[in-house]
Amino acid sequence: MELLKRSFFGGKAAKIQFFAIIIAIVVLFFVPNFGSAYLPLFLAWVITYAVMSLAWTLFSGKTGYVSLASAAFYGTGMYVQAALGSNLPIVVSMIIAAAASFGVAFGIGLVTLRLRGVYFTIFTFGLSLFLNKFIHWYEVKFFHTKGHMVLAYDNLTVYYCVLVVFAIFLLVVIPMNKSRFGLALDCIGQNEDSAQHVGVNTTMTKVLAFAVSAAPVGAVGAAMATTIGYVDPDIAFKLLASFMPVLMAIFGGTHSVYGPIVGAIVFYSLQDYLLRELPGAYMIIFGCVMVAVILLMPKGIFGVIDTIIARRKRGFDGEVIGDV
Amino acid sequence: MNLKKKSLALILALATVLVFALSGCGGGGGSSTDTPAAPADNGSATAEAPPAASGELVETGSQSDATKDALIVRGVRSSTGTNAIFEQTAFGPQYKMWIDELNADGGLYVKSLDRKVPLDLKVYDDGSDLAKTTQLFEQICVDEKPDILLPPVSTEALFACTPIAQKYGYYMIAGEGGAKELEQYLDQNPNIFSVLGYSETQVPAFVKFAEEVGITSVYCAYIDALHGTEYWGATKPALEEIGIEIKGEQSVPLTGGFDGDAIINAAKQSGADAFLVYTYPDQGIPIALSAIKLGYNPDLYLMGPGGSYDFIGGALFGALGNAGMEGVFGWGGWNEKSSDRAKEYSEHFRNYWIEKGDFWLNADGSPNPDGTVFQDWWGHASYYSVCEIYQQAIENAGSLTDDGQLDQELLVQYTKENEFDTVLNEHLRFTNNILTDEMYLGNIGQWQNGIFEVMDVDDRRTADPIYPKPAWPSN
Repeated sequence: MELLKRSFFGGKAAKIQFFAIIIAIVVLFFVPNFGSAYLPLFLAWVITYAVMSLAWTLFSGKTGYVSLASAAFYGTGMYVQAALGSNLPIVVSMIIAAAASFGVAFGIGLVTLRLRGVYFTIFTFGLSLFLNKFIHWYEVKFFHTKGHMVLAYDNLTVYYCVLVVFAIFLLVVIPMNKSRFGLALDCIGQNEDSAQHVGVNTTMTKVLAFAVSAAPVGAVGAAMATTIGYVDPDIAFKLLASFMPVLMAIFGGTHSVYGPIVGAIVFYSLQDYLLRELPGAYMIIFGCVMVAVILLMPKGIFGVIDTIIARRKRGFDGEVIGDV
Repeated sequence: MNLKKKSLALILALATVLVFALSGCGGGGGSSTDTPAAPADNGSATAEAPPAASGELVETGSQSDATKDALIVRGVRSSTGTNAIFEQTAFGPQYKMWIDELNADGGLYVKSLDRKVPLDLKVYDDGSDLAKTTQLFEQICVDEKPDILLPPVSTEALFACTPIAQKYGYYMIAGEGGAKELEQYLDQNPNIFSVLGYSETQVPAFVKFAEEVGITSVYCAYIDALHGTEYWGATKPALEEIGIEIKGEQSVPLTGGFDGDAIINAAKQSGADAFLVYTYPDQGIPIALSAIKLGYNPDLYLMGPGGSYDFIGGALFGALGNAGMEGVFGWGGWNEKSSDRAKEYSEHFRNYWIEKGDFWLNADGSPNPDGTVFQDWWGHASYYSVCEIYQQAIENAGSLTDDGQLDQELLVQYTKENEFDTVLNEHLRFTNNILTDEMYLGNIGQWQNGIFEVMDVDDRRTADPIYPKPAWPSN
């Protein structure tokens, strides 16, 4: 409770932040009423990627362990929805999907988070491939088919579902960053051996963070499966779902919770626009923009905004904000 | 630290671009947008009414004063990615020919307007990515309000987009996929119709043929995708029921990484009479090349999708072409002997694309200099029938709603209640939104002297079967 108070009401900036979040969520609640019928679906995808990107930043951004397991958690959520969506309300299947993704991440984390550096990255990459192949084998072996129909929901319902996940996740991440747990993650990111020496249970802290970051990804996977209507292992566990959140987080900036959100909004909107308006040149332009941002704005878009604000505050005399 | 993160970011960026490109999202050759032929006369051309339909006519009322400059035709298609081969050779050429020819003739006759209206075609590329397909599909349904909504490419995409089209009340005819599960799906989505043959009609036709020629055992290699699992899932129990022994089976990964020689050696060692290859061309061609190389020549060799393509002989035997395919079986089956309409369509299709000269594009989008036109002796008759059904429905029941869009409900009603004169069948009629066996020109075929002969055990057969299969040509 004290932590929540400190995070959201502990000073003028925290209060402004809290009320800005509430206002943004209220605005997002009403926005779909003022656009075309396609708008809720577009926004649902933006929010989905924002959640995935934020989840990646929560674990990988803090600890420095680069995870490529987003597709595994997202796909787990999709498959939970495919299996249970016909019999359960979407909210219930989303909760189960979140729990399933949490469970998968927790189990995998216990085994793999003793690995460091590139070994962990390779393992998480392989996890998506493994789940893809395993579910495929299971379906063919026992059901003689591949893939499942998913009960469709209207776009507005899906939008509100992912919006709620996003809001809850955001309101959990901000206090978490200021908690002892968040501090422990920061310590691990800066020097894991030192963190261990000062009494941080590094393995369990990493496993918990990994699992907590997987839960919302599973939940939005379940919700978005209903917009696709059909799920098979190649769709659920497609590798792009592992790469996109990482790129979005880097694009927006990983040093703040708002960076990945900004990254997801800009990145996805750009992709959507180019794909429709310049389909032939889409990937060339998209790639150039991506590389330019990474080279010219290493702190991401939000980092640049942050730097400008900080410099103005300091009358251009202050030192540059710390490293990304 | 900064440098490390920059490097990491760049590596990830490059990896993502690579994954995009491999998964087909990369902008490959050519644009995904087909600009329509310029509307020649702003729809002012008066037209002769089309021939009367062969069933009940839908009352549309006259809207001859209404303004309608173009019929909006929109689709989300796979111009890049794994499904692009099918779009390039199977579906795309049908729609392009149909629309080009209609526009050259002033457009498509709309009954209530009593005049022809040019068609405005625009196609978005989904990169063979299903999430992108559904998103773009919904976007065009909502934002562009097409008069004619084209279906997406692949059975999986049909599964995904059918409820979206239904949700917004669109009328859609699809030849782009077929599966047993689609039957119940169409029950729940009554505005959508499917014309492509699938396991329900094709597998029984093969089993009947196997019984006729006295096959005693089979070995099957099947793709681990919806097609392979469904077809083998239907074939295996049906063969066992009539006492044919299953000597062996193995799945082939869709994403590559298989050894054609190992598959052929396993099939050869099994000693089965028949070897069934239920895979796509990307797998079927290397497996066939292994069979030729290793001299594996079972009594019956069946190649799944792609086995009925005109280009398959060229892919396996180069200049020898389909002469090398003597005795090989494939799914589907029609040829110029099937009916007068089939012959007329086949010649027309070939001549149109030879004259046009860009049926088959090189990877960079430039025309293929040899001007070869490929016919698909399974699907092409079905795909062109889709165009004919759209056309006849609009000619006989086309009417505008208050917001100027073609009334989709009237087209659905017309399609449910009437027969259509198509390449596939001159009296084509839907039963529960799909076609029954007798609507098709054939379900299985066999290459004989470069012609894909229909082999169904009934009056659709166009030649006597060759069994056992002759040896592969020596080179």
